[in-house]
Amino acid sequence: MSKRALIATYFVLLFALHQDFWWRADASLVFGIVPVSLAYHAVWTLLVAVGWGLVATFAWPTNLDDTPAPADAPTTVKSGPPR
Amino acid sequence: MIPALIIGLYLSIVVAIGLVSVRYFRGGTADYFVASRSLGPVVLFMTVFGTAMTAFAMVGSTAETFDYGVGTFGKLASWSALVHPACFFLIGLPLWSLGKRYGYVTQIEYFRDRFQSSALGYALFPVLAGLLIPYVLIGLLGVGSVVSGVTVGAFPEAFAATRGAIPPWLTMAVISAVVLFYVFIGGARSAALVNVFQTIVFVSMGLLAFWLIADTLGGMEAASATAKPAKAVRAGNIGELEFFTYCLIPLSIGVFPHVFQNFLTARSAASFKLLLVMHPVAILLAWLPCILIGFWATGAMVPGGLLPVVPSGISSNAVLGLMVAKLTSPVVSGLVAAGVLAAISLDAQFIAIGTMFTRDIVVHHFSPTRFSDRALVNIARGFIVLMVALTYAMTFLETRQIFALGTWCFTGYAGLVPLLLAALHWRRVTAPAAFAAVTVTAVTWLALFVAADFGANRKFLIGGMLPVATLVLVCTVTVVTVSLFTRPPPDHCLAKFFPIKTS
Repeated sequence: MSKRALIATYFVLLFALHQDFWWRADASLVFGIVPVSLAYHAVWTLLVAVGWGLVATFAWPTNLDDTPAPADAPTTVKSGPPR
Repeated sequence: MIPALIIGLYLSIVVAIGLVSVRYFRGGTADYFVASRSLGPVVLFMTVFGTAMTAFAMVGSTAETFDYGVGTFGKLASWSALVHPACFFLIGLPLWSLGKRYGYVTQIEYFRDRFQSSALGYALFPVLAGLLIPYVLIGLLGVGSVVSGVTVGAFPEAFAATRGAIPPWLTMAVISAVVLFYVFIGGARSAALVNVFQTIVFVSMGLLAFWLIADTLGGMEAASATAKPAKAVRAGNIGELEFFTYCLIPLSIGVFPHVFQNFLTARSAASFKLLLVMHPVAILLAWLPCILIGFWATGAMVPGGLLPVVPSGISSNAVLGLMVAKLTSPVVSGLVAAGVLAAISLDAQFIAIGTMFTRDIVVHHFSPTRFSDRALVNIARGFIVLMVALTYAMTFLETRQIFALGTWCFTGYAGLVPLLLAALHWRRVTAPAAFAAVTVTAVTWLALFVAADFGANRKFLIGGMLPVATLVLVCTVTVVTVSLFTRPPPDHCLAKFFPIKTS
């Protein structure tokens, strides 16, 4: 499995794990302070940051900086029906 | 009086930053609209984060938690932590690259070129610009309500009708004038520098309020122990389908015209890396303290008394203000109010409106050579002044709750994401499909907005899901179906937009 596929799998897993229905009615507090579902989502958020760190390190697109702008104006498309 | 002085000091610093930024203003539209595409990773991150966060990050999150529990973090903040960077990566980065290559400054320029259709731009302009107006309105209303809340009793003679508080109309007028000032003189560069300052202020003030409130309540454990257990869970506060479909709301950031313009200010593609990684961390730092303050507010009592900090019947939008006012000092109240003001950055929206009007309507209609660069900057400035005046006038109309307005605004933008994603990543999408998608999405949004009593019905769901799910589905089906039944785009167009090879 390529690095890109592994990272994509990581994000799919995170996406699915966001729906923490198992703590839907659990009012217990982590360290007596943070409701368990809130603590879970805080950690989940940090894992998202880790995922984007992996993207930036191992799956960053290339060639994005290559071509300089020919001019600071787009191709002019004048009025007319959509083609 | 002290909070009013601190707010005045904050606004003075903002004006000073605007004045300093003018020294770096290079003149011309390239600098005014997109800061000459020169911003590095740190400024880009802080600008985009500061622009993406609104009054809701502090005031609304506390209020929503007070009403519907800590699931507020999961449904809004943590979904945003995943979906926002995904939009930056899948939409922002390719658009930045295309914008740099072909000189785009607005989304409409990209859409016109991608679909070889001038008319599509005229169809998109009212939709994109129209949804920005309620967005700005939300910010102004938030500013007015926060400052009014923390200055009660400060000016008993001047403002007797508001119990001595600075009236919202005056606050909104002053804020509009301040933002207009630095946007007018420095454009995107001024806005970026001010946003860096604002991001630091609003994140640090949220943390400060959290720390001091916890201390007054006897520590974090004591504060959580007295909070209502019913607000520590999702059960009874939000349905599972509704919770899940909140993942679609943050998609709106991919279509926000002002965020698009922020993307274009980046110096290089690598500038986006820090943004992707730090955006979720910054969301956690900004939201978690306010969510816990909202949770604690459900059971907090005034120290040494038997009265609740938040009396029953009070609007939940006042929860943060009450917690800060009753549990900390006037100095902290002023600092937190400054933090809320900092979270409400209207500058990027103003610049985006001015840019779209200038580039997509004026320049496109008359030709790029008709006006000098200086004249175009002045046209943008003029239109910005007009839109600010119009929006300010609209604050005197009947207004819905901040959250309701914001959700509908974000819903509208999110509904267009399938079209933008298709334009960037699907070769087969066609111009008739783009037209159909814009029309069908706009009509559906309007119908749902009316059905929800113009946003007043905050629990308006379709099959247990948020209206945004319907909009995204309708737009996706329209884009795919119409594309497959119409003639594919010409080869020269595809060659222009799909040459990028990724590693």
